[in-house]
Amino acid sequence: MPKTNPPFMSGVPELLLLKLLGRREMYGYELVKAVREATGDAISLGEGVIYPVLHALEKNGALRAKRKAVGGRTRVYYTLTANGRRRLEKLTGDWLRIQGGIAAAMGEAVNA
Amino acid sequence: MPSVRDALTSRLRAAGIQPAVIERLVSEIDDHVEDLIADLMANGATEQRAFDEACKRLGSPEAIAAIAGDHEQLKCWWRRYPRTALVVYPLACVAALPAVPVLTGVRHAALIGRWLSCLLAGGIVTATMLLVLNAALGV
Repeated sequence: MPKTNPPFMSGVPELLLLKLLGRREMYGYELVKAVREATGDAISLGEGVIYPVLHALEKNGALRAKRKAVGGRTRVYYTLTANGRRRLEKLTGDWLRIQGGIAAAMGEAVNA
Repeated sequence: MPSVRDALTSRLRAAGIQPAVIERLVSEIDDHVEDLIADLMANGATEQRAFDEACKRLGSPEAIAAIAGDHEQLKCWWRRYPRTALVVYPLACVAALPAVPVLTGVRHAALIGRWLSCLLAGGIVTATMLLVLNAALGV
Protein backbone atom coordinates (compact mmCIF):
# COMPACT_ATOMS: atom_id res chain seq x y z
CA MET A 1 0.00 0.00 0.00
CA PRO A 2 1.67 3.29 -1.04
CA LYS A 3 1.93 6.04 1.55
CA THR A 4 -0.61 8.82 1.18
CA ASN A 5 0.84 12.24 0.40
CA PRO A 6 0.32 15.05 2.85
CA PRO A 7 -1.78 17.95 1.57
CA PHE A 8 -0.01 19.75 -1.23
CA MET A 9 2.46 22.39 0.06
CA SER A 10 1.90 21.31 3.62
CA GLY A 11 5.27 20.61 5.19
CA VAL A 12 7.09 22.88 2.72
CA PRO A 13 7.84 25.64 5.25
CA GLU A 14 9.04 22.97 7.67
CA LEU A 15 11.30 21.40 5.05
CA LEU A 16 12.77 24.76 4.03
CA LEU A 17 13.40 25.82 7.62
CA LEU A 18 15.09 22.54 8.51
CA LYS A 19 17.19 22.64 5.36
CA LEU A 20 18.38 26.21 5.98
CA LEU A 21 19.02 25.62 9.66
CA GLY A 22 21.09 22.57 8.70
CA ARG A 23 23.63 24.99 7.28
CA ARG A 24 23.94 27.27 10.32
CA GLU A 25 22.00 28.63 13.27
CA MET A 26 19.74 31.58 12.48
CA TYR A 27 17.05 33.75 14.05
CA GLY A 28 13.60 34.31 12.56
CA TYR A 29 14.24 37.37 10.44
CA GLU A 30 17.45 35.89 9.04
CA LEU A 31 15.55 32.72 8.19
CA VAL A 32 12.84 34.56 6.30
CA LYS A 33 15.47 36.37 4.25
CA ALA A 34 17.30 33.09 3.64
CA VAL A 35 14.05 31.41 2.47
CA ARG A 36 13.45 34.28 0.05
CA GLU A 37 16.99 34.09 -1.31
CA ALA A 38 17.06 30.30 -1.48
CA THR A 39 13.76 30.01 -3.35
CA GLY A 40 14.28 33.08 -5.54
CA ASP A 41 10.97 34.49 -4.22
CA ALA A 42 9.15 31.49 -5.77
CA ILE A 43 7.62 30.63 -2.43
CA SER A 44 5.99 33.51 -0.60
CA LEU A 45 4.94 32.85 2.94
CA GLY A 46 3.43 35.32 5.35
CA GLU A 47 6.60 36.11 7.27
CA GLY A 48 4.90 35.70 10.63
CA VAL A 49 3.87 32.19 9.72
CA ILE A 50 7.34 30.75 10.22
CA TYR A 51 7.33 31.45 13.96
CA PRO A 52 4.60 28.96 14.92
CA VAL A 53 6.35 26.41 12.68
CA LEU A 54 9.67 27.07 14.44
CA HIS A 55 8.02 26.70 17.85
CA ALA A 56 6.33 23.46 16.82
CA LEU A 57 9.64 22.06 15.52
CA GLU A 58 11.26 23.04 18.79
CA LYS A 59 8.52 21.27 20.77
CA ASN A 60 9.08 18.17 18.63
CA GLY A 61 12.77 18.26 19.46
CA ALA A 62 13.83 18.99 15.88
CA LEU A 63 15.22 22.42 16.81
CA ARG A 64 16.84 23.96 19.82
CA ALA A 65 16.22 27.62 20.63
CA LYS A 66 18.82 29.70 22.39
CA ARG A 67 18.67 33.37 23.41
CA LYS A 68 21.72 35.37 22.44
CA ALA A 69 22.52 39.03 22.95
CA VAL A 70 23.69 40.48 19.64
CA GLY A 71 24.25 44.19 19.04
CA GLY A 72 22.44 45.20 22.20
CA ARG A 73 19.39 43.06 21.38
CA THR A 74 18.37 39.62 22.50
CA ARG A 75 17.55 37.26 19.67
CA VAL A 76 16.28 33.72 19.63
CA TYR A 77 18.60 31.57 17.53
CA TYR A 78 17.46 28.19 16.25
CA THR A 79 19.78 25.22 15.73
CA LEU A 80 19.05 21.86 14.16
CA THR A 81 19.24 18.88 16.53
CA ALA A 82 20.06 15.26 15.67
CA ASN A 83 16.32 14.59 15.73
CA GLY A 84 15.88 17.51 13.31
CA ARG A 85 18.47 16.04 10.93
CA ARG A 86 16.56 12.77 10.84
CA ARG A 87 13.32 14.68 10.22
CA LEU A 88 15.02 16.63 7.42
CA GLU A 89 16.22 13.43 5.75
CA LYS A 90 12.72 11.96 5.92
CA LEU A 91 11.03 15.11 4.59
CA THR A 92 13.62 15.45 1.82
CA GLY A 93 12.96 11.84 0.79
CA ASP A 94 9.19 12.42 0.82
CA TRP A 95 9.55 15.61 -1.16
CA LEU A 96 11.81 14.06 -3.81
CA ARG A 97 9.35 11.17 -4.19
CA ILE A 98 6.43 13.59 -4.70
CA GLN A 99 8.51 15.79 -6.99
CA GLY A 100 9.51 12.73 -9.06
CA GLY A 101 5.89 11.64 -9.30
CA ILE A 102 4.69 15.05 -10.41
CA ALA A 103 7.56 15.43 -12.89
CA ALA A 104 6.70 12.04 -14.40
CA ALA A 105 3.01 12.94 -14.63
CA MET A 106 3.80 16.31 -16.18
CA GLY A 107 6.13 14.64 -18.65
CA GLU A 108 3.35 12.25 -19.67
CA ALA A 109 0.91 15.14 -19.97
CA VAL A 110 3.33 17.05 -22.21
CA ASN A 111 4.02 13.99 -24.40
CA ALA A 112 0.33 13.06 -24.74
CA MET B 1 2.68 48.14 16.73
CA PRO B 2 0.72 47.60 19.99
CA SER B 3 -2.52 47.04 18.07
CA VAL B 4 -0.92 44.27 15.99
CA ARG B 5 0.61 42.75 19.13
CA ASP B 6 -2.71 42.87 20.99
CA ALA B 7 -4.63 41.45 18.05
CA LEU B 8 -2.11 38.62 17.66
CA THR B 9 -2.08 37.86 21.39
CA SER B 10 -5.85 37.66 21.58
CA ARG B 11 -6.05 35.45 18.45
CA LEU B 12 -3.41 33.11 19.84
CA ARG B 13 -5.22 32.95 23.20
CA ALA B 14 -8.46 32.16 21.41
CA ALA B 15 -6.67 29.36 19.54
CA GLY B 16 -5.71 27.86 22.92
CA ILE B 17 -1.95 28.38 22.55
CA GLN B 18 0.13 28.02 25.72
CA PRO B 19 0.81 31.38 27.44
CA ALA B 20 4.61 30.86 27.43
CA VAL B 21 4.53 30.17 23.68
CA ILE B 22 2.38 33.26 23.07
CA GLU B 23 4.76 35.47 25.02
CA ARG B 24 7.87 34.36 23.12
CA LEU B 25 6.15 34.19 19.75
CA VAL B 26 4.78 37.73 20.06
CA SER B 27 8.15 39.06 21.19
CA GLU B 28 9.92 37.37 18.24
CA ILE B 29 7.37 38.80 15.82
CA ASP B 30 7.85 42.22 17.40
CA ASP B 31 11.59 41.94 16.77
CA HIS B 32 10.92 40.73 13.25
CA VAL B 33 8.78 43.77 12.48
CA GLU B 34 11.41 46.09 13.95
CA ASP B 35 14.11 44.53 11.75
CA LEU B 36 11.88 44.65 8.70
CA ILE B 37 10.95 48.31 9.25
CA ALA B 38 14.63 49.20 9.75
CA ASP B 39 15.57 47.41 6.50
CA LEU B 40 12.74 49.05 4.54
CA MET B 41 13.63 52.49 5.89
CA ALA B 42 17.28 51.90 5.03
CA ASN B 43 16.06 51.29 1.47
CA GLY B 44 14.31 54.65 1.37
CA ALA B 45 10.79 53.95 2.65
CA THR B 46 9.13 56.42 4.98
CA GLU B 47 8.31 55.23 8.49
CA GLN B 48 4.58 54.91 7.75
CA ARG B 49 5.15 53.14 4.45
CA ALA B 50 7.69 50.79 6.05
CA PHE B 51 5.21 49.98 8.83
CA ASP B 52 2.40 49.28 6.35
CA GLU B 53 4.66 47.09 4.21
CA ALA B 54 5.91 45.22 7.30
CA CYS B 55 2.33 44.49 8.41
CA LYS B 56 1.49 43.27 4.91
CA ARG B 57 4.50 40.98 4.72
CA LEU B 58 3.97 39.67 8.22
CA GLY B 59 0.53 38.27 7.38
CA SER B 60 -2.65 38.76 9.34
CA PRO B 61 -2.87 37.84 13.03
CA GLU B 62 -5.65 35.42 12.04
CA ALA B 63 -3.35 33.58 9.60
CA ILE B 64 -0.53 33.33 12.16
CA ALA B 65 -2.93 32.12 14.87
CA ALA B 66 -4.45 29.60 12.44
CA ILE B 67 -1.01 28.12 11.68
CA ALA B 68 -0.20 28.03 15.40
CA GLY B 69 -3.54 26.32 16.03
CA ASP B 70 -2.66 23.62 13.48
CA HIS B 71 0.19 22.52 15.74
CA GLU B 72 -1.35 20.60 18.63
CA GLN B 73 1.87 20.63 20.63
CA LEU B 74 1.63 24.43 20.97
CA LYS B 75 -1.80 24.27 22.59
CA CYS B 76 -2.68 24.10 26.29
CA TRP B 77 -3.43 20.55 27.39
CA TRP B 78 -7.11 21.32 27.95
CA ARG B 79 -7.43 22.37 24.31
CA ARG B 80 -5.63 19.22 23.16
CA TYR B 81 -7.75 16.92 25.30
CA PRO B 82 -11.05 18.78 25.80
CA ARG B 83 -12.96 15.64 26.82
CA THR B 84 -10.43 14.80 29.51
CA ALA B 85 -10.52 18.41 30.68
CA LEU B 86 -14.32 18.21 30.96
CA VAL B 87 -13.92 15.35 33.42
CA VAL B 88 -10.76 16.47 35.22
CA TYR B 89 -11.71 20.10 35.88
CA PRO B 90 -15.01 19.45 37.73
CA LEU B 91 -13.35 16.64 39.72
CA ALA B 92 -10.43 18.90 40.61
CA CYS B 93 -12.85 21.61 41.73
CA VAL B 94 -14.79 19.17 43.94
CA ALA B 95 -11.52 17.81 45.36
CA ALA B 96 -10.29 21.33 46.05
CA LEU B 97 -13.45 22.37 47.96
CA PRO B 98 -12.36 20.94 51.34
CA ALA B 99 -8.96 22.53 50.88
CA VAL B 100 -10.39 26.03 50.35
CA PRO B 101 -10.75 26.95 54.07
CA VAL B 102 -7.23 25.65 54.73
CA LEU B 103 -5.79 27.55 51.80
CA THR B 104 -7.70 30.66 52.81
CA GLY B 105 -6.44 30.17 56.36
CA VAL B 106 -2.86 29.99 55.13
CA ARG B 107 -3.32 33.20 53.22
CA HIS B 108 -4.75 34.96 56.30
CA ALA B 109 -2.53 33.18 58.84
CA ALA B 110 -1.54 36.38 60.64
CA LEU B 111 -5.15 37.50 61.09
CA ILE B 112 -6.28 34.08 62.26
CA GLY B 113 -3.31 33.95 64.64
CA ARG B 114 -4.31 37.26 66.21
CA TRP B 115 -7.92 36.12 66.48
CA LEU B 116 -6.88 32.85 68.17
CA SER B 117 -4.57 34.75 70.56
CA CYS B 118 -7.46 37.05 71.56
CA LEU B 119 -9.71 34.01 72.06
CA LEU B 120 -7.04 32.36 74.22
CA ALA B 121 -6.44 35.54 76.23
CA GLY B 122 -10.22 35.92 76.74
CA GLY B 123 -10.44 32.31 77.93
CA ILE B 124 -7.56 32.79 80.37
CA VAL B 125 -9.08 35.99 81.79
CA THR B 126 -12.50 34.31 82.18
CA ALA B 127 -10.97 31.23 83.84
CA THR B 128 -8.90 33.41 86.18
CA MET B 129 -11.98 35.45 87.15
CA LEU B 130 -13.95 32.25 87.83
CA LEU B 131 -11.12 30.86 89.94
CA VAL B 132 -10.87 34.11 91.95
CA LEU B 133 -14.67 34.12 92.40
CA ASN B 134 -14.61 30.50 93.54
CA ALA B 135 -11.80 31.25 95.99
CA ALA B 136 -13.62 34.32 97.32
CA LEU B 137 -16.81 32.38 97.85
CA GLY B 138 -14.82 29.57 99.48
CA VAL B 139 -16.39 26.89 97.29
